[in-house]
Amino acid sequence: MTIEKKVENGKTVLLLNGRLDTTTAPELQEMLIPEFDGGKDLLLDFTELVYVSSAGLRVLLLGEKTAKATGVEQSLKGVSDEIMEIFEMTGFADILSFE
Amino acid sequence: MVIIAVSITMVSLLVLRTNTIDIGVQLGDSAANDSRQALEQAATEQLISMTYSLASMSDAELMLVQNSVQMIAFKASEIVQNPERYTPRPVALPDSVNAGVMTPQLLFAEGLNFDDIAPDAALMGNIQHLLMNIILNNVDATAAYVGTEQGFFIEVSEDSHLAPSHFDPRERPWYRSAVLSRDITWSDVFIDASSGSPGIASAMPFFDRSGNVAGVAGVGTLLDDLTEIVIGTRLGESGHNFILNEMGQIIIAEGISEDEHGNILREDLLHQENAELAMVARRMVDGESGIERIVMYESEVFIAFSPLETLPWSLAVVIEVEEVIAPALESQGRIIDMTDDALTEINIVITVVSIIFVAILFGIIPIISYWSRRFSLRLTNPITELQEGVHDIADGNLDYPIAELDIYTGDEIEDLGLSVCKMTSSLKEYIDNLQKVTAERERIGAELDVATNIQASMLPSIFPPFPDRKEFDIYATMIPAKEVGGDFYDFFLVGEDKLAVVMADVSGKGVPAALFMVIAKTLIKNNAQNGLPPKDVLETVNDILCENNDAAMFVTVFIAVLDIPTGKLTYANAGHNPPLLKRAGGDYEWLPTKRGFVIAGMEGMKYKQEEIELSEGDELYLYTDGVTEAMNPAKELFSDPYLLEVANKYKDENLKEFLGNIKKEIDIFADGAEQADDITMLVLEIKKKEKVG
Repeated sequence: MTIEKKVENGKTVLLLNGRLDTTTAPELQEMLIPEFDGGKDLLLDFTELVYVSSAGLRVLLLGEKTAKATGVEQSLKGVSDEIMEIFEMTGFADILSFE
Repeated sequence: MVIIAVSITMVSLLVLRTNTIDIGVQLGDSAANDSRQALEQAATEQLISMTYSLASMSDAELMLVQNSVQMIAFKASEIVQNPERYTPRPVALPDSVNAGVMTPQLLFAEGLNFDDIAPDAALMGNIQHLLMNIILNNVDATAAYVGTEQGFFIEVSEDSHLAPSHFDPRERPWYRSAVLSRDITWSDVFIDASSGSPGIASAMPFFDRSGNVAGVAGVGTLLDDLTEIVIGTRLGESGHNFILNEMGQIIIAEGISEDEHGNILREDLLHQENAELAMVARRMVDGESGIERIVMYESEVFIAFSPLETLPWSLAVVIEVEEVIAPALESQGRIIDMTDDALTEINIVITVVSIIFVAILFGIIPIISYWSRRFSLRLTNPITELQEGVHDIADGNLDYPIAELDIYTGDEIEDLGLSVCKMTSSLKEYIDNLQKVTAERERIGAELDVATNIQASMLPSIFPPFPDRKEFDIYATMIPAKEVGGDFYDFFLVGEDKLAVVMADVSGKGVPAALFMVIAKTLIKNNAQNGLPPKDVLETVNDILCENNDAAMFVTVFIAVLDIPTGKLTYANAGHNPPLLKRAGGDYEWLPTKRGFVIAGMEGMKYKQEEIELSEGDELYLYTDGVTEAMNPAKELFSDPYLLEVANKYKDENLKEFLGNIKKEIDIFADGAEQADDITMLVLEIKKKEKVG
C-alpha cells in the first residue's frame, strides 16, 4: 500500500492505494494519528483502495476516537462497493463519516 | 626421482592433514563464537517477548477477577439506585441443612434487627443469581459477595461451611479499604486454607444516587491459573519465573512455602546481599521492564522482567547463561565431526603412500616401474593443489573451488578430493544456516505457542458436548493461522431450557488478541448465563470492554439463544458475518440479521435482536471471516457466494463431515497460499423434540 499526503480545500487528504491489512495498517496508523494534532480536518481518500481487513478497521476506529477527542473531523471518500460492504457488515458504516 | 615424488606427496599429505584438522578447530571456534552471540541475542529477544507475554497472561487472569467484581458492583448499584425496578427476592439465612451446598446466604451484623434489614436485603437478593454464576463459571473463584452500609452481607461461596450467625461486613479490612479508595482494591496474596493454593480477594465499592458508598462488592479467587502461568511455562531446563510484589517480595514462584498461620514466607529481593539482584528487584518494583545478565544463586543468569498492569507487580523470567549458549558448543562439535570424514580419507591415502614408500625403500622394482608413472607430477599435483585449497578453507574461505581442481584421478586421490569437497559444502551450508537456525527457530516459537495455547484451551472441544441432550446436536472447529487471530466460538446451556451459541473474532493477532479473546469470551458467557437476552449481553459486555481498551481492539460477535422446548431462536449481531440457515430438506440461505457495530469499539452502543422459530432438521452454520476471506495465490477471496455454493454442496452430510468438507474446499481454493487468519466454524442442528407428557 502507498499513502500520498496533500492539502486540499483546507483539509489534509491521505490518498490510500492498495490493500489496508495487517501488514500495512501500522503504516497508516503512524501517519494518521499525528495528523489530528495539526487541527486540520482529515479526509481519507479510498478511491484506489481495494481491501480493508480488521486491522485496517482498527486504525479507522482509532482515528474516529482520536477525532472525537480532538474535535478534528475524520471523513472518507471514494469507498468502493466491496469495502462499503465490509463497513456495513461490521457496523462501521454507522460510526464513520462519508463525504 | 620416484623417491622424491613420493616424499613430496607424503609431505603434502601431512600438511593437508594438519590443515584439515585446523579447519575443524578454527572454524569450529569461530562458528561457536558467532553462534554464541547469535544465541545470546536470540535468547535476549525471546526472554523479553516471553516475559511480556507471561505478564500479559497474568494480567488477563487478574482482569477476569476484576471484571467479576465490577459486574457485581454495577448490578448492586443498579439495584440500590433503581429499587422500583426490582421485586424482593429474599436470601436464606445460614441453615445447617445447607452445609456443604453452594447456595446464597444472608448474614448481618450483631445488634441489628432482622426485620429492619429484611426489605433491603430482599431487594439486594436480586444479585444472588449473578453471584452464583460467577462461582459456577470461574473455576478459580471461591466466593462472591456484597456487603452493605446497613450491615448485611449476601454471599455465595464454593464450599459453604456453616457460617457464623453474625457477621459485620463493614468491619472487614477489604470493605474498609474499598470504601477508603472509592475504587477497586486487592488483598495481599494468602494461602487458601481449604485448598492450600495461593488466593487473592478483590473488592469494589458501589454508590447510591447521591454518590455515597452504599456497599462493597467482592470476589475471592484462587490464583491457580496465574500460578500455572508462572510455574508451568518454563524456558529450557534451568529456566524459572516468579512474580514480585510492590514490596520486592516473591509472592508467586515454584516451591513457595507458608508458615503455620497460612502466611506466605516471602523472599525479599530488595533487601539482600546480592547487590545486582537487589538492583534488578528495585527496577521491577519501579515498574520498569528490561533484561540483565547477573549472578543469582551462584550461577550466571539472564533475568528479564516486565510489569503487570492490573496490580503493582512485576514478572521475571530467569535462565542460566550456560544453557543458552549450550547449542553453540554443540555447533563447535558438529563442525569438528564434519571434518573428520575428510580426515579419514586423508589417512587412507597417507597409509597407501606410506606402503609405497616402504616398498620403494625395500627395492621392490616391479612395483616401482608401475607406480613411478602414477607417482610423478600427475599424482603430486592434485595433492599439492588440495593442500593449498584446504589451507585457504582453514583460513575461512569456504568458497574455495575445490571441485574445479584437477582431482579426478580415478583412485584414492579422487576420493580424497571429493570428501574435501563434501566437507566444504556441508560446512558452508551449516555455517550459512547457523544464525538462522539458532536465532529464528527458538524465538518465533515462544510468542506464537503462547497465543495458540491460550486460544485452544479456551474453546470447548469435546463432542457431543451434552450427550444426554437429544434435542440438538453441535459441532465446531477452529484451525488457527500461523499467527493466531483471536477467533473464538462458544456454546453453553443457560439453565435447563436454553442453549447459547457464540461466534466471534477479535481484531488483531498474536498474544494481545488471544488475551482479549479470553476476557471477551468470559464476559459474554457470564452475562448470557446470567439470563440476559443477546441484545443486553452485547450492550453490557461492550460497555465493560470499552473501559480499558486503549489499543482500540474490537470484537465481532454473533450470539444466539435457543429456547429448546419451543425452538425459538433469539439472536443479535455485532458486526459479525451473517450466518447461514438451512430449513429441513431445503437449501442453506443467509439468515437475515440487523447488523450492529462491533463490540469494545465505542461505549453506549445499542444492538437489535431478532427471533425466528426453528424446527426439527433445521441447521444453523456460523463462521468467521477466515472462511470467506481465505485467499488463493492470486489474492482472490473465497467470498460469500462461493461459501453458499459449497455449503449447499455438502448440506446433507453429518455435522462433522459438513465442516470438514468446507475446510477441504477452502484448502483446494487456497491452492497452497498460506492461511492468513483463523478458520472457525460451528454448526447447530435441531433434532427431534422429546415428547412432552
